[in-house]
Amino acid sequence: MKTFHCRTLAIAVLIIFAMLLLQRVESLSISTPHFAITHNYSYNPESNYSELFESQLIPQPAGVPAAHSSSFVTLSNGDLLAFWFAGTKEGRPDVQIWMSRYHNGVWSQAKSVVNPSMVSRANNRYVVKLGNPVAYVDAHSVLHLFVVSVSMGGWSGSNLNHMISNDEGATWSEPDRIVVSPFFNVSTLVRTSPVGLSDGGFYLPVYHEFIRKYPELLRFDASGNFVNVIRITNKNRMLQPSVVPINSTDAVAYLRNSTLGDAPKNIYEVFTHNGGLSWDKPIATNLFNHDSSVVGLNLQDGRFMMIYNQVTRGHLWLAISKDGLNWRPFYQLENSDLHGAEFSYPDAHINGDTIDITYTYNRKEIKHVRFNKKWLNHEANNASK
Amino acid sequence: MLVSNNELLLVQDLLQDSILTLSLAVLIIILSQVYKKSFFVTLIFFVALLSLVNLVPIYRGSSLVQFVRGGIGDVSVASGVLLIMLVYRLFGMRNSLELFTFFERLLVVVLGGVLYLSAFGFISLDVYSFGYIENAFSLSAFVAIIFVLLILNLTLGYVWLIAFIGYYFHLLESHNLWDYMFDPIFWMVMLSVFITKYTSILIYKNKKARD
Repeated sequence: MKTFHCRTLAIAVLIIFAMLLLQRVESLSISTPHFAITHNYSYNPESNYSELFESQLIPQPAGVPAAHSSSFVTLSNGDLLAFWFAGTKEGRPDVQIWMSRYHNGVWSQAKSVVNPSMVSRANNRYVVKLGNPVAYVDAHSVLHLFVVSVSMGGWSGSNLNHMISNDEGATWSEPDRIVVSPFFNVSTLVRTSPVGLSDGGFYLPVYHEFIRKYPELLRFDASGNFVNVIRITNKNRMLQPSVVPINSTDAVAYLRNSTLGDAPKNIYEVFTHNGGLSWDKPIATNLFNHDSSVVGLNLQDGRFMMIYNQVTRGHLWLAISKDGLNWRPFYQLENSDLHGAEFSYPDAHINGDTIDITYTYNRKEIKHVRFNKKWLNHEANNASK
Repeated sequence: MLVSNNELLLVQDLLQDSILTLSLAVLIIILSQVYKKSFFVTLIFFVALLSLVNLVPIYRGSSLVQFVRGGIGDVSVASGVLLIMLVYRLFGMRNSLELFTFFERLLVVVLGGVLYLSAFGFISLDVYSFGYIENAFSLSAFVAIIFVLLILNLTLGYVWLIAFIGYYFHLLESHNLWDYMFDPIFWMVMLSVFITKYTSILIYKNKKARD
């Protein structure tokens, strides 16, 4: 009799909480995602403004010999805010996330944003190293910074941390850990920029690296709260998805290929036609990539651009495509066969006619390149002759 | 919202720290075999350990609890219940692991196996994503499992009911129901018990059949 009462009570409790949860689920109903296509820029090749191509190194913190993995955002006044990790060497406990602001053509002195002790304190757990910052400005001008942290082991044991700033990086919230994996919450990493959704939310492209490597999307709502995970593909050794919206429902994600051995190492691409809810099977592009981060960009004039390393990380290329499928390399941003030369991990954004790119420069600094469409068209035309 | 976000974070932190503090204290007592001496000595040692694992920095300023938390992340509500069972066992009240039947262990081993294989990308279907409970369908699937376990009056049903209530009150940082029902430690304990117990039974039966 006692067991019967206990069981009946438990079932009643289950039903009550199921009803309460159902009510919450219905009230929180998540809208079908649509990509936010804010720019509808049409390029006029006859316009008479001049070609622009300029580059400069972002000042590094004093006495810090290694820098890598930059990410940047464009602020409402047109300034850029770049983030990267720097320290004595990648993976060392002294590596911090640094920030610099580009204003009136000049980059400011680097300022530390977060270090392992801060993440450790905020999350009340041991953290040994930080890496790969990714920044994003949402529809409400809130600046989001995602940072990878590791407590034990290599990068495949990474956790994801989220910080926000309401004053364009002057002050930051404490790092908040995001739980996205059932297995000790390890192995979720970021590298590439988020893409906005029409409801004010955004997708953060991430990748899993433990045992198998595959890309995913984390969805955030308009308030910047993590909603869920969408798997792009479970095809092994595809990582660091660079998501490029085509229209409100269609997008393409370009994937770094870390295939081992003699297998072809082409960049892969994968399409969605329902706002990122599901993705087609990945297909190989005609661009070769030797296990290095790539970035795709919608030039908003019917063309796409890719920044990627071909053959080695000593060669950083720009390629152009009219359909996002067939690519034509047209300009080499960096070209070195010297041992250890590395120009990698690009981030790129388009703002009207101007394209900005930042990338790792010899693992020691971060370089910023800015050019306009007139220069791009000139170089693309030259290369096709 | 009954509590603010900061208060919720504090509760989540406190819960995790308490579970890990208890776990580590119990583990050290079991490994040191102090519990074989006397109840009183065990109790004193236990209370001392509760403070030591939290307050003494062992590596780069982190306590043992912070160090372990960094390594294994947060534990599920199910693991918390399993821990209480271990404390029962420690103080000689009951052999806690016997509370689970063959069917419950099999269910945990199979469900966890599928969940982790999917999480590692061996299965294209993302089983973990069902735990975000975004619609009535995924909610009813979880409710149905717990309901059947309760109808069968199995301990796991009660454990997962507590996990389900914990999910409603957002007692962990995660908002995925799987993280309340499962964690790798819980799964590995069940898997190892399942393997050792049932392989030994099979070996015994085979031996008996041969004799």
